[in-house]
Amino acid sequence: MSERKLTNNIRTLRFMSNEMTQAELGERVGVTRQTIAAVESGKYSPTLESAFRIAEVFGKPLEEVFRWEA
Amino acid sequence: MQDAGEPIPASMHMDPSLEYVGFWRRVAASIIDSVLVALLIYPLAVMVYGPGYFLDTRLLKGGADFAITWVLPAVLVIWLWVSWSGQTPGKRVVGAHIVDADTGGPISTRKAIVRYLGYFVSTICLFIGFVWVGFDPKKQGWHDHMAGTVVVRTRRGRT
Repeated sequence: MSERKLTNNIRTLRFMSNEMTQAELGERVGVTRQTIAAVESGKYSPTLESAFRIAEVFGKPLEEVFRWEA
Repeated sequence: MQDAGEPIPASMHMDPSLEYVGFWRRVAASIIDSVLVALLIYPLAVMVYGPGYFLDTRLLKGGADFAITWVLPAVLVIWLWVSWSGQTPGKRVVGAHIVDADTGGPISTRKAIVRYLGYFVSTICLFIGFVWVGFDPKKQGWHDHMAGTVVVRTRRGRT
């Protein structure tokens, strides 16, 4: 396994979307607030489907929300 | 990192709130950065030009002067903005990050260059571009508007 890791901009995107709460994002994606919190902090890898749904909420392509960092 | 499908530990429930960073914190950050840049470039300039460097009243004392006092800080700052979580040491002290106003992520090299050039525009116009931060709804200076960036920080003491 390489040292690359999955990072994301969800925290900032929520803030820039009228301070959307984790609960609200979770509701729109169909996961719990805890899942959003864990994904956001980079400690939990979302399912591919959840990842696409999260990006969809913000109206962004997946790679603008999640990054695969070296 | 855990993979999808594994249970999520209860320790991951925090949600620190963010805020746009206002004028005074930005001023504090820029004072810190200015001091650090001065501590870097002036000793270098004196190594090249000798102690007489400060007595020479010409704006530019030569190619090395241009490289040390203009190019070096620009390259350093732009590199930090892109690669160091959108921070310079001063911004790190006040907890501020420069992020892309559209994606919320790190800024591209192109945006960083535009933002740096924007500093000159903000400066030349009697610093109005910086004062703008104090009145802008998203606390964007002219340089932020030009580059499409915002400066955010994690608010402390609130969850």
